[in-house]
Amino acid sequence: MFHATLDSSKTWKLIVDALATLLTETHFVITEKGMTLRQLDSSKAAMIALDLPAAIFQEYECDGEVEICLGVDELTKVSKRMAGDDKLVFTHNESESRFEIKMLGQAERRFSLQLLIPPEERTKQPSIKFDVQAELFADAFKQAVKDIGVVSTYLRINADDDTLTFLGDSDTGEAEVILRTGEESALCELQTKKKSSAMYAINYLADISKSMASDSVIIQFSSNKPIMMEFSIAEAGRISFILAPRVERR
Amino acid sequence: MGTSLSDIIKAENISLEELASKRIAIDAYNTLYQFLSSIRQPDGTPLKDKKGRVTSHLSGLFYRSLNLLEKGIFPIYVFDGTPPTLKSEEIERRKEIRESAREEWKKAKEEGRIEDARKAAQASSRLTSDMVEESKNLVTSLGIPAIQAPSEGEALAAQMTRSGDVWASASQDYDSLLYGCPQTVRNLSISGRRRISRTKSYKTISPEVIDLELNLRLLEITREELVDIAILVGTDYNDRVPGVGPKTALKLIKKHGSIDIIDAEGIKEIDFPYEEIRNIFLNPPKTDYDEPKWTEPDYERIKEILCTRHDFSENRVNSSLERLKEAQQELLDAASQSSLTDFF
Repeated sequence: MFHATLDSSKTWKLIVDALATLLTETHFVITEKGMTLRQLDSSKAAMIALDLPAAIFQEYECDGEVEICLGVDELTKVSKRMAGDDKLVFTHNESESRFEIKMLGQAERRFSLQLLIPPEERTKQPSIKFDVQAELFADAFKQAVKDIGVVSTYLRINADDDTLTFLGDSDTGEAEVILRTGEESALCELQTKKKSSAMYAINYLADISKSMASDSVIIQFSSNKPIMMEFSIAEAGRISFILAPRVERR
Repeated sequence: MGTSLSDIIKAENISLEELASKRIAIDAYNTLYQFLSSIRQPDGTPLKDKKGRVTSHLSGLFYRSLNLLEKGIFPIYVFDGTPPTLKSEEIERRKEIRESAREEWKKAKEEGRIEDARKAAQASSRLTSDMVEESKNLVTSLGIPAIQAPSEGEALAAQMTRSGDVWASASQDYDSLLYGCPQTVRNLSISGRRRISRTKSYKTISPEVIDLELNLRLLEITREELVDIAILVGTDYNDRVPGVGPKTALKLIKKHGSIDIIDAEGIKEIDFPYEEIRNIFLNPPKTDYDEPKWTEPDYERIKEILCTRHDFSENRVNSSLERLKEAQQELLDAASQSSLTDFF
């Protein structure tokens, strides 16, 4: 049994948008503590991890563990129908294997979605230690990705003690964005255990950064290792994207 | 050509995308003949350059190879060498068919019987040594290896597949199985529709892969027995035994174990050297070949062969080569993206 209400349809829309950047199918695992999701994209280059603690919902009830598997297209279509001030009610109808989303506003609207069969294996979040952790304005990160994307299909990130540099190049030319710590800088915090440098695909970063809905984002990475980009949702909730690096094979 | 075993062999559909990054040895003659017979105008006239030389094979080879390269497949063309002496009768027979088909084509065309003309023209396809040389030249300028087999190309393709140098052998006939090729791909890169022989209708076909081990297990026979079945049904080296199709042959061989003791079944005496034919399939000469290497296409050389020598449209060739460049760059980008699972 699962039943929850959420006062803000905006939060839900942001969550669905974030899931839709990587996935075609969503696999929620719901317990009394909250809703979680860990999934790789189809090419296995990226992962999304979602944690929505029970506290972000107004009403929340869950007996045991419930797995909810839904198509992203359907979820997106339904969330597009939500009005800004709708209150949402989620219910798992076990007997008919449906996930029900009710929108309470000027009318009471109910969408009942067919559940898909959950995958046999659950994805675990890799435990990766990172050499660099940076907190910066989400907008600064989005702009940096766009800047580098002007000339390049990949983005190189370099970090030393007080500087985070984004670089890219191609036949067309080169681009560089430098963020230094300090007052009035978009880079709020930078911890560098070791000078690091890694390269990531722009197309992934562009999609991921578009779905960043909070003011700031925490970026963690190490040389030639994955990058983790984490931001909060509805205060206590959290969305993390992990992206595998590009490696030079030439 | 080849042996017809489709009634008893099971194949599984596979998409070209699934074949990406795999090396595949292609029976060059088999492919070139397909192009010669199918790339023709409605009245059966093949494509020709301004000097009247046939270019159907080059056109087919060019566009098919590009298609494979764009999908990230690593093709390699294996060319036949000197055929086993036993095949000379079959070769003579094919030559006669071709020559009479040629006569029929001319006649049908004069009399305006377009459909008959096309049929006859297809049967009259001829592959000259100049055409073979040109094909090799075109293939290598595309950066694709071309390997010369001492004898039958399919035997070498099977050897390469067994040794793991390629993932599969690609051919339209079933001889690869007889040569012990673990994996054979049929309909490679033939997309969607194909005209059903002698009709105006089309059927959809897609690439398929035949797993030899699996088929032998399903049929509960050994490869030696499969070769015997093929011999009863007819190979490039012998005519079929009258009244025996694949299913009957399977039954007979399963009952008796081999051709040697089959005469009890009211089958006409087997008057051809079946042991020698068996030997061709079971013990083909082992060949040393160079490790296949794929290189960047030589765009200038390709244009020289197709446009300068054979009057292909420069615009079309250029835009196709441009598409290839883009596709290869994309593949390169995709190849450099690591997988998250490498870091778990």
